[in-house]
Amino acid sequence: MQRRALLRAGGVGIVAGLSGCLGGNGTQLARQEYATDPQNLPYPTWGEQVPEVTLPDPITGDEVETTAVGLPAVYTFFFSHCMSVCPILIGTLRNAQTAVGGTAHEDMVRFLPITFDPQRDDAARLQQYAADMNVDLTMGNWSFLRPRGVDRAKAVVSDRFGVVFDRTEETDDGYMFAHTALTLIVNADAIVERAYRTGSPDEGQIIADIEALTG
Amino acid sequence: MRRRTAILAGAGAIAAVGATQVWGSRTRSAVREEVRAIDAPGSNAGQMQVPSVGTPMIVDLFATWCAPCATQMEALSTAHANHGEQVRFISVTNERLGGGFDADDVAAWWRSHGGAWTVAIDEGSNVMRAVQATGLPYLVGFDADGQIQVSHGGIASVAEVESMARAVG
Repeated sequence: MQRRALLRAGGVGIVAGLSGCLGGNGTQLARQEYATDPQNLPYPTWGEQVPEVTLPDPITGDEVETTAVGLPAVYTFFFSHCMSVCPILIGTLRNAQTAVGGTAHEDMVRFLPITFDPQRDDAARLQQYAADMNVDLTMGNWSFLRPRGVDRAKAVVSDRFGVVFDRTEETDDGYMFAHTALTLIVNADAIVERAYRTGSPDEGQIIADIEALTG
Repeated sequence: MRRRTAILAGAGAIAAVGATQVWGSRTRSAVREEVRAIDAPGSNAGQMQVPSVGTPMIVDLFATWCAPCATQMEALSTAHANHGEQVRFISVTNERLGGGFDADDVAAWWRSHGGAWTVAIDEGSNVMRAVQATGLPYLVGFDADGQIQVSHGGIASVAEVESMARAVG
């Protein structure tokens, strides 16, 4: 992805103007430091536009365009049959959703976990997964996004977001994936503010990021 | 961001098998977190410290959505029956209460899985972060000085939990 300045039209630009741009590149939070040159990282980092993709929410039928969310958003990448890293990632987002629930921030953020297992993660499965993980879908700020098919999942999750996943051998619970972990905090102008590449992201930090971006 | 295939961070990313780690005798734990115990079988509501200095402790990190954590309860129950007088057992979930999920839900899960010791809420995932747990279930053994002596990621057998209890007790 090339670093490029983004011209935003209409209300979104006004929001950015009011909240202020700290880095001059559309960011509001201070530069995030990385262990290596972020140009060499496979995932989008501070100051870059979130990969521009449109994905369906199979539960509501809505189409979500990542660059037109118009609110700060939190992304992570998962599959619902995962027993190890993914429930921690989803659980962290769920805890953040609960933390902002009933506050002024509740309607000012979107939680957008993207599955890379569209074969099994259909609407019914994701609805059950939400119930199992105590995600509150009625809050209206959470959308599971599901690429249409395996090839599209690769194209979006691996090629655009830099989260690689490889299907592994069958287990008693069906096939699994070896995969990397990533949580992205994106501002209302669709610029990445934080990229946490860990299977155990800091819940308190994510909540603080959301609160900082939602005023 | 450069468009390229990233190297997977090893098979550990999907590690499902349990693994015990014995902490060096020089390890000094800076863990000192406050959790909120709830009313449930074997558990009385109130704030408490993890670890609690003066009491050896087995801490079980779990979540109600975590199927392996439910499986873990059987070995914990046996180990608790055999070592519960020497070592304090406490199960801690990092699930934040709210959004239709409350302490009664935790207590109901606890009851249905035979819990008979302290169960507590760690809002903010402070314990999980402090002990650097990257998955659930995750067991940590603190000695009476509040130092981590042993930890175990993934499901631990009865023998493994009892070995942890002996290591700290």
